[in-house]
Amino acid sequence: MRRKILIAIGIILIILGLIFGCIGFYKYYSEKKAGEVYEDLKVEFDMAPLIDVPQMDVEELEIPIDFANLKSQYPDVYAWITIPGTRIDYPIVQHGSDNGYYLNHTVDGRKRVEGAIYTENYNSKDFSDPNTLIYGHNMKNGSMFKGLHKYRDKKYMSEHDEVIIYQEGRILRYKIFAAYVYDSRHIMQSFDFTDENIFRSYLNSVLTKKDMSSNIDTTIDITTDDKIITLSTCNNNDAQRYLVQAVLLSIQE
Amino acid sequence: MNRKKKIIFIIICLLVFLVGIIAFRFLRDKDDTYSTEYTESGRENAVVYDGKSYQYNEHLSNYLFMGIDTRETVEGEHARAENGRADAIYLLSYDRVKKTVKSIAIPRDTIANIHVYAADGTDLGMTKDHINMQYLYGDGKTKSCQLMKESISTLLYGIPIQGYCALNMDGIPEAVKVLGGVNLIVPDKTLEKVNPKFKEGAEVTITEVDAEQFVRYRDTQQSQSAMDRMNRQKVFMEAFVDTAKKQAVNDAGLVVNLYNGVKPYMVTNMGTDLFAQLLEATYDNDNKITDIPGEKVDGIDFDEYHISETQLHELILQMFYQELQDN
Repeated sequence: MRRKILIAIGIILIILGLIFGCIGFYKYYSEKKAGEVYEDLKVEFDMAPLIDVPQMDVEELEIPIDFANLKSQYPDVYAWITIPGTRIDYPIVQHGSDNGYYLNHTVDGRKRVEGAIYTENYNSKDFSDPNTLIYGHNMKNGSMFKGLHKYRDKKYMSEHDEVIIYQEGRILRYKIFAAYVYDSRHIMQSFDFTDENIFRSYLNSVLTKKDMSSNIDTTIDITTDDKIITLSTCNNNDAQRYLVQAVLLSIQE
Repeated sequence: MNRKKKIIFIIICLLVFLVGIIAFRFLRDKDDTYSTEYTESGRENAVVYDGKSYQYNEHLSNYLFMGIDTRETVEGEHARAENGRADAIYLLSYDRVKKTVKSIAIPRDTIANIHVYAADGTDLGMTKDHINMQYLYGDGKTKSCQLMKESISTLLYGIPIQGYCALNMDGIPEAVKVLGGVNLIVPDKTLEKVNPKFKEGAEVTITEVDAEQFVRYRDTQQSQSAMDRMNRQKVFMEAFVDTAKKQAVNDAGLVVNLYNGVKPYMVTNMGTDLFAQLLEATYDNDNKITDIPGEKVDGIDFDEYHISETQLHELILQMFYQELQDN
């Protein structure tokens, strides 16, 4: 009798041990692997390595993404964002109805912690809005939008200030002008940027920000005629977001 | 099962269980797949520049010194000329541990965000204008000083300012009188025309009679003459502090005498003991005044001074922050 109890306890211990071990390992594994699906995508749909894009040839439109194929497999993909010199190089998706979907789903629809780089349907898909909000997770392994936090360094910001967004048949070039910690309010719900006065005072509030941890480039003149993008990621706690903002300089079609 | 086997069985069971729990605990610590670090170095309040982390030097106390001019005419819808303008602006940073001071000169024509109020006190919001105008939008006393303090703090990336002292320029002869004159070398020829005593390079003693002329005169027809004047004021201030500290060694009551002498012309929230401490801190100091980096620009009606933000950011780091050593 005592023997049976002993064996039963032993087996329970072993099973518990295995379960805990597996959960731990799974979490560790998914953190390590976060963003890997995008590495595969880059290989699959990047037709040319980005560094070789000739800057001189203005006439020729060099889009290194095979959008036709990409879109046929993943219909929600409508753009590709890349910040030269950083790890940020991802497709941008927007879900038709569920704005929270890509918070925890990768572009191929798998449920994954890293989610996707995405916009919500408060924004159009052609970047014609005064402000387009683009979200991405702050992954511990450095993937997705974790790299935005490097913009706390003013010098880094001045050396990595270009954002390129590729779309089918066009290239949008942006210049980063602001990087700072902001509260976690939903920006698109809090500001009606189509109202010029609201957009003006919003821009003003950003451009007059002055403290040592906010990096604002005041040498660029930004008006309500400009289009900006706001890249948003987590900032350690629920009350804050880290934002990097860039202004549209040119559209090449 | 004999006793030995039993023990081995128990040990194996416990081992597997422990390894599982440890693996779970260890890996779960990293369970936040989302990063909780602010920076690469993980220091929350650190300012990062060129890959290095910096933290504000908590040993510093910063004091705003202003020379107020109530005589020049002033333009601007809501400006109240009688309040005067802050035409000489200096920030003094005192290291309480090292007992040293450093100072920054802020040109009066610096373009900055200032807070505008109507005469009845209505808040009209922020505007970009000459920083010396900020003083006008207060009451010429404490309120004006508070406004200047806030604007200068914002201009200097939010460094805290603990105290202020605004001295009407009319009080300068009074201060020179207490010292019995200030010796200096005239730095340029901008005063030669109006007073032959002030030849460039001449060694002169500034007395209560010509002190005002030396620190206040400028040829308003001349572009950027306010910058020349600021340069002269700096020379005067350095010489003034130099004279005062030499005399203070033998005269313990000097600071109190100075304080009382200029009191009618002064608005401050600092006491005599603090002034004495600051003066003492200048003893073994080079007392050089750092200029705020920027460039002179001729505005439509008035001269302007545009700050170079990148260089100012670096200056603030260098003066008010300390590099954090790697753990």
